[in-house]
Amino acid sequence: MKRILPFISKEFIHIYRDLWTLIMVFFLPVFMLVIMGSAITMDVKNIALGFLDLDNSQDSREIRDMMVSSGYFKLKATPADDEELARLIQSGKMKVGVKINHNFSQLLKEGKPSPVQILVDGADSNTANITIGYCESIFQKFTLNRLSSVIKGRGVQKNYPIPPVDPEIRFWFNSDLKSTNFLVPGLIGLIMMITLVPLTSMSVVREKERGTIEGIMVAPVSPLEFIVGKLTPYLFIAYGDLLLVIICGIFLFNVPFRGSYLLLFALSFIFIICALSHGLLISTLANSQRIAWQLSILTSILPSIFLSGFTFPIESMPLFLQAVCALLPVRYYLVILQGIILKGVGFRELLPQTVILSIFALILMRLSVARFKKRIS
Amino acid sequence: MGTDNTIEVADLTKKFGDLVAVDHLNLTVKRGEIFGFLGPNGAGKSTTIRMLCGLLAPTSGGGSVGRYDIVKEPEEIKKVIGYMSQQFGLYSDLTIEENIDFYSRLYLTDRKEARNMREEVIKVVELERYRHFLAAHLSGGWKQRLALACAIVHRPSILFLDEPTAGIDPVSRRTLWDILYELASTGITLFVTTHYMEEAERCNHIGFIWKGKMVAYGTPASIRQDLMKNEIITLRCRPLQEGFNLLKLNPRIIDVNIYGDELHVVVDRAEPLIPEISRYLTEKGVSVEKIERIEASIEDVFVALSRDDGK
Repeated sequence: MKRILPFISKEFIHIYRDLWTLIMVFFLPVFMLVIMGSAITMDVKNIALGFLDLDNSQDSREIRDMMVSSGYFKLKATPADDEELARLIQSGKMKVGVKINHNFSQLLKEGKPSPVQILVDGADSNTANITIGYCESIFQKFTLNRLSSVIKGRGVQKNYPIPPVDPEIRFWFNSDLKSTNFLVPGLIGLIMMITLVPLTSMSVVREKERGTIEGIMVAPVSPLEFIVGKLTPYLFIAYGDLLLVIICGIFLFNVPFRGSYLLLFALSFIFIICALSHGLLISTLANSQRIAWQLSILTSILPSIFLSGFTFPIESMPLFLQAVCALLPVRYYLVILQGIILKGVGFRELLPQTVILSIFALILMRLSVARFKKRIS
Repeated sequence: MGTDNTIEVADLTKKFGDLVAVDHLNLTVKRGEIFGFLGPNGAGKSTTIRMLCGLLAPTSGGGSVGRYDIVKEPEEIKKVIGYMSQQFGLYSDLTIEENIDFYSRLYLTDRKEARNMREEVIKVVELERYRHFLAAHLSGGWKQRLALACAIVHRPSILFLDEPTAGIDPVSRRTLWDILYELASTGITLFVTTHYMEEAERCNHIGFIWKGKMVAYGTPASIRQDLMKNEIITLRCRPLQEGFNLLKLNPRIIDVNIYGDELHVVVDRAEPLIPEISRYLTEKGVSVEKIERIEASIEDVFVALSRDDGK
């Protein structure tokens, strides 16, 4: 096993001399965290609002104020007619338009249903859904206020609870529903895949492509020594990136770290073995770095973005996709990451994920090492 | 073993499915000898080398390299051989020193010994000046020296060189051969494949492999004598192509090949045919400038062997 060391020091020189590897190792993780953490925020705030008020009454102004003061909407325009309202939405200057009819206040006083038109730009369905939700809750609140004042006005003095059920919703682990809190653990899994799988597969394939592996195979080196020597540097890199992303998450985005660092590092080892084996497996399939890169993207990065539960909830996927997700190690690692970082849970709670991940690691490692040995002899 | 033979194989055979890549090959190489292994591409040279290096198990037959059995002890063989391939297995993003250092540590687990050998080998191939250059920045000839340095850094007793001089200039080729002679004189056995026939003439023994079979084996001189039953006439004429076409049709001539501005005509007996050919060509309007019998070169022998389809 003494022959592992020359590989490790050689590999570090390769990494150090290659600008692209360095970028992928140190720049990409931070870059992704900053981009995803700040630009692609999944929270919806300051929705551009157009308010067409034909009634111009105290009631209509109350609705407008309630919307603006909620913080979710920002009053961008007060169009004078339907046409202008439609134009503003079409041009994308406004995401939502509210139209209050001229008899709005009148109908309310008469105790009749008083319709309010809400136009939502549905192009971005996610934002649209959230917008509708905000609107509904504001109009509900307005209605309830009216209702209680009407009841009081009729002399009902009893402390009649309106509404009868008042749910007190509290979000655990991420009480402000900050999406960066959720994103950072997810990003760790993604970044580990991005750095480990393509880098390891390409570094092994490079030896094949340049014929240097021939020189190694005629030397008294066992395939296992070669594998361990080649992959160990990437193990260090994986831990470096893990630390880097956590530090950035804490200092740039105030992500809380509630669990044990030691547990996270220990359980990450199992996942890293999965990712390294994955990269090695690809290197046995690809004969050029280009193919290795493409296979890595296809089999690691894309699934870990879309099928890991990072961007889309697995529970709402069709059954067969859920089955595919169940076969992705990154999916279980994500549960571990969120569990430790956000919820501060211990090993006992994460035991199922740990067991599954260990099984994956064992299978992947045995498969890739066996294939590698077969390919070089 | 008691013999002075460092490579000894008998009936070495390798089949890939139906294809017989190496067919009952017999081979003996003495210690300190330069053995030239020749043959066209695809004849089975690389497969043979891979078996001798312990990288590939033979289908049948066997033998020993450096007193180790090629079937049972491939790992032991790897410790005593050096290997330099045609595409130079060098790391272009590593410096000369780092390349040699890597290979020295791969073979020699003692750090001090590895460092000493690294320094020694840098002197042998005269790479001191370029020590901190990246391998990528070396020219072909120097890259070759570096590859050689990496292959001999652990002081192997047998060195396999797979087309070591392919694609480098004549001067570098000559200096490389000087180093190879030097190595052979210290007792290292060299097993060299090459396409250059003048390099084949420099070897102590040569073997010619054709379709997996050894069709010629011996010293360059003995091969020329034994295998070239025919005689060679060299001939300069104008126009050359016209002369070539005419002689090709003549039934008394076994073969004609163009060598530069001359023709090599293969015949049974040269003496009676020289005036005849000369007359024949002149009649057809081809002017003969020079015509004489020459010693067959190794190249003539191999062209003849290849034409005979290895029979």
